[in-house]
Amino acid sequence: MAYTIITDEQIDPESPVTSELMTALRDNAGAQLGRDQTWQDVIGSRSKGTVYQNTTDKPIEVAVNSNFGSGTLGYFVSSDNITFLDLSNDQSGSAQMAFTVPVDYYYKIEVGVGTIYNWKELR
Amino acid sequence: MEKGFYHLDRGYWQTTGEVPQRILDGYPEGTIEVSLKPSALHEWLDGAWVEVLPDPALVLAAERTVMKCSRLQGRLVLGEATCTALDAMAADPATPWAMRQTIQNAIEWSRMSQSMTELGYLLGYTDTQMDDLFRLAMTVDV
Repeated sequence: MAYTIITDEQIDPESPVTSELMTALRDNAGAQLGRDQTWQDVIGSRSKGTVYQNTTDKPIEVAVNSNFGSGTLGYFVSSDNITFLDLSNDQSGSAQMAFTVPVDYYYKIEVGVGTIYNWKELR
Repeated sequence: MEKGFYHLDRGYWQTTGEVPQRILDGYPEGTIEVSLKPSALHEWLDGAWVEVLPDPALVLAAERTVMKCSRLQGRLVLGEATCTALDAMAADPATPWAMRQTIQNAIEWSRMSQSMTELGYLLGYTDTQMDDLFRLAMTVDV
């Protein structure tokens, strides 16, 4: 796709294209991470090893504090609930991590027989 | 409201809220809506949630990996008599040098460290007694 850079002077405020562009920018701003979202403590409604899908209309941020036991370990995200990407970088002892889950994406937290102490979502 | 779904190949997953139709339409054929998973110990088996208890040995192993206390916490739980014996060990040239250093200088005690295993052996403590020592020491407010 080719792009053309235009200057402020070249923008026609009355143009339908400008109006459409401004509407798109406003809509996109509403979908930004953190906009109209609050941190929520979800530890009571979440379980280690369970897959969660972000079905909201915005990305969500997940913050977790845990210790790892033996077994499958890590913080995983997936676009299709089939192939998961491990975001963790420390699989020994305790770990803290925050990561973004895009719209429609899945995530899960595996700590083996370890414990998750804090689990919050910005949503 | 959060929803639960299950598919034979993908297992169980849970949504973070209501599910738009466009997402439902994208789920693989054979997906069924199920009640929310009651706990991390539950598995969906033959059309129902069944509680599956973890292996106690694995639970204990996980607990031990995070058992840590300060030297002071450990010594306060061991008590004066045991600490006197420990200090005598540390002063005894017959005690291996590494163990003497551990007794005298280790700032933090880790349950799974080799030094702690050797220390437990020297004290005549069983694994269970060492577990109890750490569990109690970790609660000591110093």
